[in-house]
Amino acid sequence: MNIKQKSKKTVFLAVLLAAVTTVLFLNGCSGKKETKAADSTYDVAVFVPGVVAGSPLYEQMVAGVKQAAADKSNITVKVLEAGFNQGEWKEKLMSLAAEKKYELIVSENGAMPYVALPVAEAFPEQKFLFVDAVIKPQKQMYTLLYNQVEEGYLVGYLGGLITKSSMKGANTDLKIGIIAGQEFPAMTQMIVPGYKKGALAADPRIKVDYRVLGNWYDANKARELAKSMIDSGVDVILTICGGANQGVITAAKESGVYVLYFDSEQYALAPGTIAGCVTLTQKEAVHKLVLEAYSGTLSWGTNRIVGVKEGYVRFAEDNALYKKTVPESIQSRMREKVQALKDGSLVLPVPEFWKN
Amino acid sequence: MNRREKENIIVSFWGVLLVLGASLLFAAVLIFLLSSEPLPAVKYFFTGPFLSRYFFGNMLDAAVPLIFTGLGISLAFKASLFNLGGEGQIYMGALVTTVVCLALPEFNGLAGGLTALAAGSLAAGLLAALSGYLKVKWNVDSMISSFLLSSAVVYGVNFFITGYFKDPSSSLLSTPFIDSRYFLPHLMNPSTLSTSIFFALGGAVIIYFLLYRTRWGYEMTMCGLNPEFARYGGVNVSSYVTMPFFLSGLMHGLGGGFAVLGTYHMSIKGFTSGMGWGGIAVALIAKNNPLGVIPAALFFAYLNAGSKAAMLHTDVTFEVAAVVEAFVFFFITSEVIFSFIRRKRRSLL
Amino acid sequence: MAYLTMENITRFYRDNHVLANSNVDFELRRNEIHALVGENGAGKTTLMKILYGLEQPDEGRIFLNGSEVFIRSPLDANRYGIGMVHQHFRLIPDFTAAENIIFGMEPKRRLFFLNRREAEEMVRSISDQFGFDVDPSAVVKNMTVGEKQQVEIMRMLYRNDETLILDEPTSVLTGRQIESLFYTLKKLTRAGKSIILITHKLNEVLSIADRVSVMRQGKVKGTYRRGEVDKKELSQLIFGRDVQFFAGRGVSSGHKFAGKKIFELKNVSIRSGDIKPLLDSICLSVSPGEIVGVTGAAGNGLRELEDVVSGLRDLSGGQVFYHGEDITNFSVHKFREKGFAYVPADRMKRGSSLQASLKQNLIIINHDGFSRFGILNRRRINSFVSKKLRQFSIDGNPDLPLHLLSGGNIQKTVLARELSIETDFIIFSEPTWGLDSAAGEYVYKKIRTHRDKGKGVLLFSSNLDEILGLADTVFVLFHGRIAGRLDNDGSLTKELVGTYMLGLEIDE
Ligand SMILES: Nc1ncnc2c1ncn2[C@@H]1O[C@H](COP(=O)(O)OP(=O)(O)OP(=O)(O)O)[C@@H](O)[C@H]1O
Ligand SMILES: [Mg+2]
Repeated sequence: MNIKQKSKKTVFLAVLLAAVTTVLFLNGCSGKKETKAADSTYDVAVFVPGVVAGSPLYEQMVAGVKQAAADKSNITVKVLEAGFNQGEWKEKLMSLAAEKKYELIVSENGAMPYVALPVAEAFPEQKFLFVDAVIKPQKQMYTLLYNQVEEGYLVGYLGGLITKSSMKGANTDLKIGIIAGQEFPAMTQMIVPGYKKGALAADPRIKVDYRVLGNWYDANKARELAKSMIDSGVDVILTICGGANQGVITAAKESGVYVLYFDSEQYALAPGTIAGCVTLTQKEAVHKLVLEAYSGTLSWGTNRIVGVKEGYVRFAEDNALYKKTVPESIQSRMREKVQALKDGSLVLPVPEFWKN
Repeated sequence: MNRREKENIIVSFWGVLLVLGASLLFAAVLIFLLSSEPLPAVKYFFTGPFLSRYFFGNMLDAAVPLIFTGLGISLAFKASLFNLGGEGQIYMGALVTTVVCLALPEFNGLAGGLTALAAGSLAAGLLAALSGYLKVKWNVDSMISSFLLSSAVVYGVNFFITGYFKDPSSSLLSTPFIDSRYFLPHLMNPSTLSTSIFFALGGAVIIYFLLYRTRWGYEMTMCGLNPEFARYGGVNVSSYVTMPFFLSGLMHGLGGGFAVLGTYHMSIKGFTSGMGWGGIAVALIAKNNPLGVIPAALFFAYLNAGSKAAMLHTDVTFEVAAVVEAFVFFFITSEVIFSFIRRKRRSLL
Repeated sequence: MAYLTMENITRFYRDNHVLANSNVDFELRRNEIHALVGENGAGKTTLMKILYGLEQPDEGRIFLNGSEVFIRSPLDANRYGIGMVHQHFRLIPDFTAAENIIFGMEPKRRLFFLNRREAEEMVRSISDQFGFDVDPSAVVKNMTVGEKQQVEIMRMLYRNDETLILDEPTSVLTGRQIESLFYTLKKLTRAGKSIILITHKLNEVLSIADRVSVMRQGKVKGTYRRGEVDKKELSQLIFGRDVQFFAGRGVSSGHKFAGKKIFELKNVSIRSGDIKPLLDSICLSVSPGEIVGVTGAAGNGLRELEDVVSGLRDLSGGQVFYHGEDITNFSVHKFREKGFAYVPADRMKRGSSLQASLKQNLIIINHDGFSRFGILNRRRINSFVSKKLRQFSIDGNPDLPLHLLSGGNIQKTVLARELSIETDFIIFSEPTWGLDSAAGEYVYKKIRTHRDKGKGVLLFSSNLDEILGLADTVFVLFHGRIAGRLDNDGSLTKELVGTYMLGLEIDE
């Protein structure tokens, strides 16, 4: 191998690349100077930590922003899908901010405010709106946290009522289950405690079986996990494991037991098996908040917590499939609980942890 | 150097350039087909990385791990070894570096950082060396064993990041942040570029020197070209199986370690994914020349930065960008691999 | 009668500025055996590669039966019925003889699947017709060189080639193998084939060729009919000067080597499986100032013994001593550390690295002296390399891959490297394979010089002239055992050695 020959080639290549780079770089710097102040549009970027397709909550978020844009003609929307490599989120969020084009960046997911911290520091003008998230108050951010204790409580209570009941899928064991894709703070701090509390409210003897799948996609493993829970006497399972939910539903269907669904209304997925759904009205929340930001009435540095009372957490009780699956006696007790949360006679506070 | 040699260089140089140019053209065509605002999309794809210090810095920073992995692959290639375990090795190096940083909170920044880097690269090196060892000991195909070991390690590292070392207070699937004393100084704020790029460039020079100017590199090259001849010449051939693998893993580990200290400051699930494969493509373009690895890595970083820019400014979606990158990757690797196979076949017949 | 003519062929290699062929005219007649001779690097292989479509001439034309043909690839050559056996075989080691022979031109009956039995049948019929002796189902890597060569020739016959080019087919064969090859070639010309035969052995030219063309420095110096030139004239034409062929041995006969031994084998055996051992209780020693020759027909353990003494192969039994020190089963690494020099028979795979540069090939053993603290001293390497190129008149660019050199120049590279070692023990195996007679003479001189300086030489050779011309003591291997230990005291004849080689005579 001729060493000299190779290194010369390399040097040549390197020099050429450097030259091209410099030219383009200088060109780029001088060429581009679009300053913000001139235009009168209100530009909103939606940062999707993942991809939109297949995620009802992300769909709702995007729909909410788009609705705001439909209301006000000078609102523009840019949706950026950041993909599943969490390592790239920060850089991509930074890129969005570095554009200095967007008045507002909207995103969802508990991790995002933390990812955004260094971005906010680098771009002190940038404003962020995060839903389903919370952080110690930051003056460039507004966070909206759903009271997921309530969410968990409602399905837990329903599960408790079902396992106790004489519904055809219910057995004599007083055991209900919950399967999570992975553990994250909202799960351990809000959803699971809420779920347990709800179950105990239905009957203090009820045992809750809590399992973690380890990922958000392995439907086969989820099915195995659900099967083993069912074999141990569980007859109602709350499933929160994204793409792997289907495995839980399949297992439940095969054994004739019930599934509770989280964050969106999905009775039609498995009529007769899905016995209850709690939903978030994220679209409305995002819509309203974007409009407030637009009109300048949003107070930055706020962490807002909303729940059933504010109408952002709902128990999907009007669905015909629900009414068909669950006996009227249970339906009416669910109505009572929802009412209690609404009128404030039942208060389920979010743990202290989330407030700072 | 005589005239013919010069002609040769120019021919092969244009050959490389042609492939790169064709792949860029191909990317442009793809964007044209897949985007509804193709003109700006193509424009941003090509010029995006140069539009601001920020993008430019990010591009340079993205080249850093690719330089390390590209060097690792080239090194093993010189000994005719194909290290297919880069993904696992870089991930491993990153995690170990992070964990050591987290375990040494009292340490002063520099010594601690170096300790962490050393540990990370050593861990990755040993992981790779295992493939070499298996080959020497039991004649296990090192290409397959490195790939399988690395796949298993990726699962293992995932387990630790999302389990044992996970930051319980974060919704991100990640370890906690390392102490800021371990951060490498940033160069072009707010971009992610850090002084790690100097280490990468230095690494390339060192590996170049090692391969072409030392007895060690000479012997390794000879083992790669014709092991029977090397053995006959008195070279201890079996040591040039484990050692190149070890060094290759070491470079991958450094890539991961510098990604932590320079860019990410923690380990996030899957954050190094793709860097190992990228290294193979980089080494292929660079024809395994350690200095050639630098421009080759920059080219890949440019591609990546270009698709990010197109995504940011136009309707190009995540999938489109991924498809464009994947296509260019295959375009380049298949070209190089085919010529590699052709060469092999010719030497056989 | 000329049916193939090459006219005004010129080929310039720009890589290393070599004018390999310069306005060459060459003409082949039907049914003739046409020898092509010339010193190493004269351009013989290049000319034949052009005819076979492996190289394109810069200038010149080729005519077949009077009309011009353009041969751009071996495929074209095939179409015109031209086949070639290369200086270095190009068989696929893991394929059987039959698979190698039909490779690329499989009988297309079942579209995809190749009927193995059918193929073997076809090969067998060729084999019977021309008197080859190869098992079609034998795997090539287990074959002797002679068998491999037969496979190469059958490959051409299978393709129905009319013109057969053989590039130095005899340099790796033993005397008997050469005889049977020539017998086959004669038979082929009677069957209508025309043959071009490249060789360095002038005796062969005189005995078999109908005509001979002599090349020197890229030019054809002339073509002569049988009987028109004698050996002396021929070598003058080849080298442009007289070459002294050494007549007898230059050693005092009856020299007794007693006492000190440099190198010794005691009861060395190699067994693989439970069949008969490859080597059986070999005892042999080399004293200072002694050339020990080892010979034997192919397949009788010569190569195995070579592997043992060079440390490349472990023993099943017995011991190896160097100056009385037991070095049994030492690695080659250790052998090299002891300073042994070794010119292997397999120069292409073992003795050199064809993809590596000439320079890299030259420094593989001495490199300790070429590096300090592991860093290569390029000045010292370069001066060493240019010295060796001059000393051995190797024609090549030190920075370009070795495979660009002519066959003989590759051989010389190996010799140059091994002879540069300061040592008291050298192993030569088939030292003159592929060398032209001048280069061969040079090597003989070197070997004798070593002996005269009181060094020990172990010479493996299947060339009996070489053995009788050089060795003081001759060992003949038969079926892995020493059939005879003969003193070369002047009374030893080829015939006598031959009877031992055939196992007709075995000393106990
Ligand atoms: N592919 C090549 N590239 C460059 N130079 C070459 C190439 N092949 C041959 N040469 C050079 O051309 C000259 C003639 O080579 P060629 O192989 O024809 O010699 P030859 O007569 O066959 O010699 P030998 O008897 O040693 O085989 C040599 O100097 C050789 O170095
Ligand atoms: Mg030749």
